Amino acid sequence: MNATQAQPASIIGIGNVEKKDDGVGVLLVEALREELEAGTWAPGGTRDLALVSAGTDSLLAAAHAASGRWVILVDAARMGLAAGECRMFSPGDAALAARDSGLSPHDADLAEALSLITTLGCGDRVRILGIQSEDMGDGRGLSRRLQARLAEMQTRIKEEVGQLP
Amino acid sequence: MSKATTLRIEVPYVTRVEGHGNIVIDMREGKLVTSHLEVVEPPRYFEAMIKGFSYVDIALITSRICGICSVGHQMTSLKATEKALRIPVTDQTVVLRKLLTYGATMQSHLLHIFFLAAPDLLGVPSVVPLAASHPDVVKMALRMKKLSNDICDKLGGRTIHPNRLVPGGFTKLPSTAELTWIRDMLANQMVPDAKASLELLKTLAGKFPAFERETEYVGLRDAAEYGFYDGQIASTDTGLAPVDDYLSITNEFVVPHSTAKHCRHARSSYFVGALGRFNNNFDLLNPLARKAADELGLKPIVKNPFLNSAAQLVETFHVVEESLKLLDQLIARGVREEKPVVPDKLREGRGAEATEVPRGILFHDYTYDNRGQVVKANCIIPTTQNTQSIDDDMKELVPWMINKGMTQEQMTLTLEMLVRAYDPCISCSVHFLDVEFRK
Repeated sequence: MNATQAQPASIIGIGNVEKKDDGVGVLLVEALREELEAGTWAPGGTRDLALVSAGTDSLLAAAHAASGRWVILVDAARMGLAAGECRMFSPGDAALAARDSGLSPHDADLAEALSLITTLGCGDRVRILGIQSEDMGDGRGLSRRLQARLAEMQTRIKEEVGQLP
Repeated sequence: MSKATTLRIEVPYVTRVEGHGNIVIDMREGKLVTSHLEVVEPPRYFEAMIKGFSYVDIALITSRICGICSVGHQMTSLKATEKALRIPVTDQTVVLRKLLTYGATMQSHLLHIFFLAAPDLLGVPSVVPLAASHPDVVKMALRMKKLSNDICDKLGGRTIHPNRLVPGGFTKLPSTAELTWIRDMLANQMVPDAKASLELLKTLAGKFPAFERETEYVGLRDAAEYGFYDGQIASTDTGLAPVDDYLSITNEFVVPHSTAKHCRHARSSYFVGALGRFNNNFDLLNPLARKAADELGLKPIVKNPFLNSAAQLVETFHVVEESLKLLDQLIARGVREEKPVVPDKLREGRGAEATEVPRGILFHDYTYDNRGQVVKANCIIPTTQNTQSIDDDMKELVPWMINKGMTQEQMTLTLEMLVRAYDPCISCSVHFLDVEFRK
């Protein structure tokens, strides 16, 4: 692959850092941002790479996908796996329960955002890294098992970026 | 309307608004017994939560009151803290804060217009079917939203809950290249998209219910510019009042049907939000915004609450134009390296401040001790100020709809549209009295 031809991409962390493991997506994006700014990670040569801490605004994923960017969405998930295990999937790979009309200013939930992305025909540009959560209670900081695998998750995201066109 | 009219409407969970609110209408033999927006969210306790915290942490904590107005909460909080502790800020800090405020306003207004209000006007239940029937419109809306979020990211360090704003300034400043990018994107992308949005809204203007109610409109008014970041409290009924006197405007009271407090001033209720600002600042609109208002037929005093969404589009033009002016000035003189101002000495003090967030005027009021720790706080959120206005609108809207011969289904939808027109943050509106019993 010619690095100079790398296409624009966005890594979008979803979640609430005040809800323990729910914030893992945001924390990963911020860790990657620090690596990028420190120069310890140089993804894809001249690739236009956006690192976005979206909080609970899942609609931002749709905004980035609709603008023609590749999107890697990072979010805590309940997938029936062991805590801290990750799975990369596409919007079409999983059945997510979307509320049909529940969109609100604060929390277009991920299922709604993915439904929008699919309807707009942008689903093939979106990859989702689901991270099995353990503790979604109030408070900051990840559960021990997620914290222990944070570096592994960062590596997984970097690998995915490396595989993008 | 027949004297025998009996009507019961219950919407147990109003959708496309933030938080949980119910609409309850009860009319018996032509008499309206109940017409309420019931707010059933639990109290948030932020004012109690921040007691004892240092002034450096307060804006970061209170920005968590709201995920959509996080920038507005930070601005208001910082201004109140700086006033209380007499921390000066530079002109450059004020300009950057205004730019961030305008970016957040664009983001919120566009989200409301396209994703929350437009489905009603286009006869679909949500934006998802709209994406199938009007993909270009949804893509344009997402493009505008993305740019607004990018502005907040470049200026504040994050799209929401920015982390570069601290008392006295910014921990990291945007580069001139980033400011130039924002300016070019606003001029070359946002302005044409806003114009296309205006053309679209003009075709839908007839879909807004033609309901009007006389009321009081409240918003910030600055002598030099349309009130967003600073100014005095302006009322269409009583004129100007200093922000320090905000309690004489808000006059909070409790009602049995709502966990959110209600407010009243010169009348039984008042309206804050885009129409509150528009009706008090019309003469200060920038040219494109003024033209948009003219084309939408908006002229003060606009008395139709449903047109709050239309006023939001007018304001979108205004904040884009205002941002372009500020960016041109800032780019021309270059970004100066500045560190946040740190107070020489901490001392006791109280500061009440206000800014306009997308949903209306927001007040933060802190009292600090001589260690710079909060001893008392009060935050009055726009939706708290609007809840009584929604109830009062419903009181007149229900007979209006009956006289129009609407079906119950049409009335239910219209009531939901009314609540959505206020663009409420229901969970943000829930704060509680801080009670201290005398010994």
